[in-house]
Amino acid sequence: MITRIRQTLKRSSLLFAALALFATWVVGDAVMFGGHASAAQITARKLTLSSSANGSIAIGASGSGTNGSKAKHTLDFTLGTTGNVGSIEFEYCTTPLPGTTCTAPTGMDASTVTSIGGTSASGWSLGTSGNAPTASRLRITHTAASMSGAHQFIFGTGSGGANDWIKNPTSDNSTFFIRITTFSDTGWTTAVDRGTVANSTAQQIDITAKVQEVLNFSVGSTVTAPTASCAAFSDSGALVLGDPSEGTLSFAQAYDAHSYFRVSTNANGGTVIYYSGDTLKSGSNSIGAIGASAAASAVGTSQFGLAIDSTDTQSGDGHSFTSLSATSPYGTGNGTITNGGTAQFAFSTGSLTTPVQIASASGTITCDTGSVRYVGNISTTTPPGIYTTAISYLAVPTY
Amino acid sequence: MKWREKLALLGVGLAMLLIGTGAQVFAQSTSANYKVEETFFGTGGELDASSSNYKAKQSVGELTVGNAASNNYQFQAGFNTSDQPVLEFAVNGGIYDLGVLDASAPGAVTATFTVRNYLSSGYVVTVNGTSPTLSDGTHILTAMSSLAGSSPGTEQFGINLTDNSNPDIGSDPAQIPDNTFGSGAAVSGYNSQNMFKFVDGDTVAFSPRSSGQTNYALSIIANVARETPAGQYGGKLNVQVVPTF
Repeated sequence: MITRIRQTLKRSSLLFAALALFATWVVGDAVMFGGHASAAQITARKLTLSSSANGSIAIGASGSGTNGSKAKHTLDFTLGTTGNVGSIEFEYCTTPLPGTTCTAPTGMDASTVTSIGGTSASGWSLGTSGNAPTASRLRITHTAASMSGAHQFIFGTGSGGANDWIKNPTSDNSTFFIRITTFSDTGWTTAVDRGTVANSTAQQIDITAKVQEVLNFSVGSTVTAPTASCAAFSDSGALVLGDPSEGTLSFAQAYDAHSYFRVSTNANGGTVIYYSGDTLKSGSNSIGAIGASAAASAVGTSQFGLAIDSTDTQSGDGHSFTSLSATSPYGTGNGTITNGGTAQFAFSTGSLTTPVQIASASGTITCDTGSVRYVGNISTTTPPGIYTTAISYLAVPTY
Repeated sequence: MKWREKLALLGVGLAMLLIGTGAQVFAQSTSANYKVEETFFGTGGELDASSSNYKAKQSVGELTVGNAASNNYQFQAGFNTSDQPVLEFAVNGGIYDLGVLDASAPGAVTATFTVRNYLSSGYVVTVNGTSPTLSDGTHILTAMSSLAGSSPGTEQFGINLTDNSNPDIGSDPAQIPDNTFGSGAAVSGYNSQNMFKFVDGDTVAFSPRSSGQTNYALSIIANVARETPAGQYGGKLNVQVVPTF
């Protein structure tokens, strides 16, 4: 009986020990696993910079792709734990692992951050006093509440003032990390989740190029198609003003003729087209220049003038102004040239020494063609003879 | 049971407790559906063999090495995997001169950059910046907002990340040492031979998982029209990588 009691007690002792062992394991692991579960990893985490330029580069607008001196840092991440979060710390370091010494990236400065942006920013505020932004650490807090899922915070939004930006590390091609830690309390004390993101500054690619000054300008009397290359006129430019068969003027009828100029230029500052020349002359005899004011054809009056004829399109090969516009009083060459007709002309003999503006453009010209219409009238007293003149056209681009 | 036996059992219990928690380090291989903690598969090894005088990782009978991934999982295997995320990003920046541009031929240059990262779910590379701008700010070369070939005589500015023949510049992304390790690639819109595009902030390359080094060649072209204003042009491109861990 005593032996049976001893055996029973011995079994009970073993059973107790086994139970104690199991309980120790379960309770201990519950405590330690509990700690691990609450220190879960933040996932789907990334850092997007507005610029990878190093912090010494202040080119372009704040927050733009070329300004590393005033950059925006966007943090996206998904919490690993569903539970209370009262504060979060973002620590900029040269190495990633939480719990190891954090060395701040050279030159970086987040101390100027004064606002929080992003889809999760509502209700959050930056730490103050000892928890205020430093060169390499940002702390934010809100009323502790259960949180889970994806979140986004943006620092360096510029909405808090002209200096509400982050200065990137000042070395090129330099990797840096942000160690993210969430805390269940509002005082950055009891860590819940952790995760690290990485990004890097990078050298900038500076592109340079040069475009040479170009002016293609030609004058002719036989219209040709401009084609895609804005082909130049290549004829002699000779023009007969008068009866088509004999080339003579008449006191009973006005005659006209057209010449053309074509211009293409990359002058960004504009281009002015001038004419320069004398009136029709035959020895000491001349046909009267209309003068600097526009006038209609006056049949039976000695008269020579010119103007831009915008209707002389020649099926697309003739007059075509896209960038150019005619200069008054030389823009009214279209219309009739009967006595007192609708077309009006002008001509200044002073252009021989001081070229007179006939058209202009304020910017570049892809390919414009101008049609210049000449009118000739004589009086009954105009001496016979062969009357000629040479009119020069000049293009003056401003680059 | 004697107190010594109880003490021994308690010790065994504590040992089991420590063993049970010792494998909890950092998750190295994860996906939306799958997660493996820092550990080893093989005939033997030790992740952290340390004393006050040395620190080592050990492995015996290595079975496989490198990164393996599918849409649902990813893991790092090998003699020495690490729990430390890595991002290496280097842009060979500086001045790239497109030369004197005219309407008869494109100006073209190639810049290079490299990316290597580890323990991530991949990365994207974006390019920010503007087309070259006239020094007085009055004109910007027209950026190619949609995919197109080089067309001299038409104002264009574009980039791509592939091997081109017209003009003869660039190269395809190169995996270092080979595509067993590297997985970076140009994205659609920037991976077509002789086709270029430039949209500020566009993603131009990516890797769907951790990747060994990928060397990229960023081909840059510019064409001008007859009316493209004369002068000195300049612009900056800002290449960025955004890894997701």
